Amino acid sequence: MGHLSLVNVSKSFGKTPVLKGLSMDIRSGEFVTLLGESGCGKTTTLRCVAGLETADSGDILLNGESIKDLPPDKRNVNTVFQNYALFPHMNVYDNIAYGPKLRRASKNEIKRGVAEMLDLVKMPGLEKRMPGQLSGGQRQRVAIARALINKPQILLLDEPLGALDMKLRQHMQLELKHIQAQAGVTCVYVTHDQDEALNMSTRIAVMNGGAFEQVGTPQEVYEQPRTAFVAGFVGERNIHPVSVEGHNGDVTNVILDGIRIKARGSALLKAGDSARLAVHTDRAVILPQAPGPGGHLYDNILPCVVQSVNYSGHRTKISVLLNGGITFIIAEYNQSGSNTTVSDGMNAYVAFDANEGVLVSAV
Amino acid sequence: MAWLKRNIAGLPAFLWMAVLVGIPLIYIIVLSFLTRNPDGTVGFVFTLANYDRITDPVTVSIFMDSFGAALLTSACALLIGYPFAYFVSRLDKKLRFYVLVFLMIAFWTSSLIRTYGWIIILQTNGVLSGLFERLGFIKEPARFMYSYPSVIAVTTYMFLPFMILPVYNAVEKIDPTLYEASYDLGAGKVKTFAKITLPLSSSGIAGGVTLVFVPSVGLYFISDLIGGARTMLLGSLIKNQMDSARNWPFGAALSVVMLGLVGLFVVFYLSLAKDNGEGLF
Repeated sequence: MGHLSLVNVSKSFGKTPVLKGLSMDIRSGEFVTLLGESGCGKTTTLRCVAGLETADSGDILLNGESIKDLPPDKRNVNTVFQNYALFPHMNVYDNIAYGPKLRRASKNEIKRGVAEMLDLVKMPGLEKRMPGQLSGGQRQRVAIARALINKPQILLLDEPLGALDMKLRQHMQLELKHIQAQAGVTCVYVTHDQDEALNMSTRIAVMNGGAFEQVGTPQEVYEQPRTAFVAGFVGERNIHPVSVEGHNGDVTNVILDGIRIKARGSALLKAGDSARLAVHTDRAVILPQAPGPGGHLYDNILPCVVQSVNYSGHRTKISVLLNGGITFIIAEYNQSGSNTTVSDGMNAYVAFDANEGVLVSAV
Repeated sequence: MAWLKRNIAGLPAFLWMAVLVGIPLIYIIVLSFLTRNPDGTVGFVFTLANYDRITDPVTVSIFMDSFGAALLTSACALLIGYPFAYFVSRLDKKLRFYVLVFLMIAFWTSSLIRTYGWIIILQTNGVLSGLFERLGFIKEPARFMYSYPSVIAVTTYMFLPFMILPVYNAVEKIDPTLYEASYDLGAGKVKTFAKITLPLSSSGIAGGVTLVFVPSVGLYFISDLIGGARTMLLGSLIKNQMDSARNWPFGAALSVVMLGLVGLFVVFYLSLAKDNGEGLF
């Protein structure tokens, strides 16, 4: 198991900077996901670790030793490529045995290793198949086995589930986690899919424009976004500019277009600062009438007009206009036999607790 | 009838082949079983004498030499053409286009004219001799003409594009992430070339070798012009029989045997190439 450190890693393609001083420590056995939109530098970061690109400056340490300038074949890290990159002229056995053969392992050792790997990825007995005869999910498994048989210090995965359909993808997420736990390998995983990142990672590094916006556990990144980008990228939120009025205990009061709102306390902000208020669409509720005594006392109850109601399977998305003319989206979870009580044009109330209103910096 | 309906669109091609390939071929085969009259005309008397004459040691050795020369030419074309195609495929798109266009331009010029061009280079006091003299490799003018290596060199040159294009086509199609995967799994550049690039381009090699080998067996003007009387190859022999010796039936018999042997060779070679699914290696 390997411990990977990125120290101020920078890289440009021509005059375009793609990585801007990345620093991060990845501990042994961790499953770290680099999450971001395409072009944010997540794949380039992975390729710098693999040795397929060379960082312009900074350093990459594996178990404390610099691997920055080593060629890819001299690094004890292996990659599962986005399109699998299985060798089309070799059968499953030869694909998986590619690494051990290069290391001149004995025939018996290779045989045992391949069988072990095929067991691990649940494909025993398929040694003789050619890659062209395998389904997408099977190719994926062979690609993982081909990398893991080399017992890498770090396993790099570049959107490995991107080409699979949704059902198979969800299945493979669990399976990958299981394989990682069994092989006990440190993983760096690249994806643009937040569900994948939240499901699988011990930590997520949200990337934007070649820099880490926030690094933290899935809970931290989801519940306590530190920047407007993270708040917008992870989860589905209403994000609106507000100005800070002042603090009141655990609560920070802000003004949203003339409406006073109680938000989760943020020590970083002072009265008069501008900030952004982020509220998860499924953590606010819509009430047809102002709640009477006895019900849950929401910290914020804002009158609104319902604009549209959209049924989308497990949820219904309701778009409303607040008094100031601001659009707010609420997602209600559907249950059989109960439909939403509001309809287009109705007057209603949006309600949420102060703790659900997260304040992030304005930029 | 259904068969006819399905293939009706191919009828013009079929007619074309029948008139331009089928009939001449039948003509040559029939001719090879006829006799030559003393005055050089063809006599309509059936005989196997023409084929019997091919087993003559002199003719057999000409066959051997010709197939040997064609094999050597294919090998040389592969040794020069493969690296060339490989490096062209690694150039950036624009440069690649220009290199291939220049290759094609050379290809379009009449091969007879290009052969005469080689005579100017190879003759005594020619360009090559002069260059070697300047560089101090030789003391007096040398003659490269009328030698076996010169025939092989010029034939190789002539057929090089037939090797380069199929190989280029095959190498260019290889997904570059396969190279990356190979490096990633611990192979250096040489191992990656041997285990990934070469096997995945073997269909191009098979195509190129066939395209160079087949025409160079029967080629006559290069061995005539560059090799002179010293190197008698099959193409020249057939040409002489048809031309100056006026023995059409024997010329036809030589052609039929050559065609048969080349056909056998190609079938054998391509079956080798198919063995491993993808190709030769």
